[in-house]
Amino acid sequence: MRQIVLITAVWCPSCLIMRPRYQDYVKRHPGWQFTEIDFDESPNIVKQYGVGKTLPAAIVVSEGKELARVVGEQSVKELEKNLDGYE
Amino acid sequence: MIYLDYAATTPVSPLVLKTFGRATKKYIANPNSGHGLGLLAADAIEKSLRKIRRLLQLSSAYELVPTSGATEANNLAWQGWLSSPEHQSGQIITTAFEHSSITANANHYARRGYRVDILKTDAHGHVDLNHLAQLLGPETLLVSVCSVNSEIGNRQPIDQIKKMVRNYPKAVFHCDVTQTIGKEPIELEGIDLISLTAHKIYGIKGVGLLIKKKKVTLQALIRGGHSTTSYRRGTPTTELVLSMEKAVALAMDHLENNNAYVNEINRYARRKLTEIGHIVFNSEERDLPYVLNFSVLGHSSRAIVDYFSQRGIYISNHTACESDSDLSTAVLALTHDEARASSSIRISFAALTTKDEIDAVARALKEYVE
Repeated sequence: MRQIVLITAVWCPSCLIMRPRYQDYVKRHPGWQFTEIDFDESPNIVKQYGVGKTLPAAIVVSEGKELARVVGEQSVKELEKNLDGYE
Repeated sequence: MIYLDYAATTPVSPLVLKTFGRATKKYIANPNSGHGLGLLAADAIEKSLRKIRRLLQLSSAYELVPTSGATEANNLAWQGWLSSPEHQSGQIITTAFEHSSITANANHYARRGYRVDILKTDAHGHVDLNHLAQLLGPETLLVSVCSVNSEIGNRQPIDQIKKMVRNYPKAVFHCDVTQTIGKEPIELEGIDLISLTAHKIYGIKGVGLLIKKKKVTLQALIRGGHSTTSYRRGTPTTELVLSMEKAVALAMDHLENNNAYVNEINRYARRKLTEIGHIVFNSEERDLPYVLNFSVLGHSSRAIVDYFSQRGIYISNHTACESDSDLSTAVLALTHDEARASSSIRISFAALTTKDEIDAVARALKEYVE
């Protein structure tokens, strides 16, 4: 089981672009889950993951361990390439 | 003191302040009261809003809802429209160049399951109308595109967008015209929902408008007893509305002359800044002349703003309505370049701006980069 923890903020235009791309990826890949966390409303989780100011930040997690991190805007192709290696 | 942050807010015109003072003394009653003085105040508000509508060259198909500013107007447009029982799901179309109050609503509704599509833009930040044509459909509820981005000054093809949205009966077109009103002519007739604020045109902070077609029904965000409008209950501030009318009238009176002068100031600033190394313009010559955005490559925009501020020069690195991040979301959306977005500076002009002030900015920036 892989989980994408997507950290977004309401003021972030890139989050609007990237959210459906991650959601679509998870839909097409059984065994993946999607969780969204608000940057401003969950400062402790944001701190725990060490997320900087560039959003969205997607953290690929498996059994509590971080496998990978994708930050900012990526094309659908780039995103697939980055995530496919962690299946 | 050199103030070059007019896109964030403008100083209040003495004439506007005079109108505010006079109205405060004259209209002492609550406009919602049924007695003679209350009716006098309510009548003054109604007449004032009618005058604003005429000044903006809008027909009687429109009604004006006074708000606390453009942020509230944007929220009322989105939430008022999408709260309706028949709009509980569907598609919203917007851009990456909107005010943070629009982006925040777009993220809110995306999290609630609405389909939110972001229009593609070209290298100049102009929306791709072919993409809009592809996206528009029977499920489209709302298209929200601002007339001009406040950080860069890139304009959007509002006339074409309103014509395209008209073909989809379930959809309304919302446009935040805050950065255009009083700066250049804009044809507002035909837009379903229009947001603006007074404090960008030498009016008082705390008053703005949502202008809506009467046939567009919204749910009120502020509920309460009987008031001058059903879309925002509570006691209307007569003096703020009347002062806004004065601000709009003055802005319209001086629009052409001011625009020509600011064009000249913009060209002058470009020439002076070009002489300094490390600078890349994010605003193009074709953009709104009142805003000039550029990146000082290799330098933090926050540090530059602080350096200038200590010298009595007030500029900004992104709009006053975003996070504490030093990244300009608009420059990032335009350039996809974090280095440019974190080193971008916005100076915004007014008819009050002088060439001496531009010289001082250029000198300070040269000192800073050297």
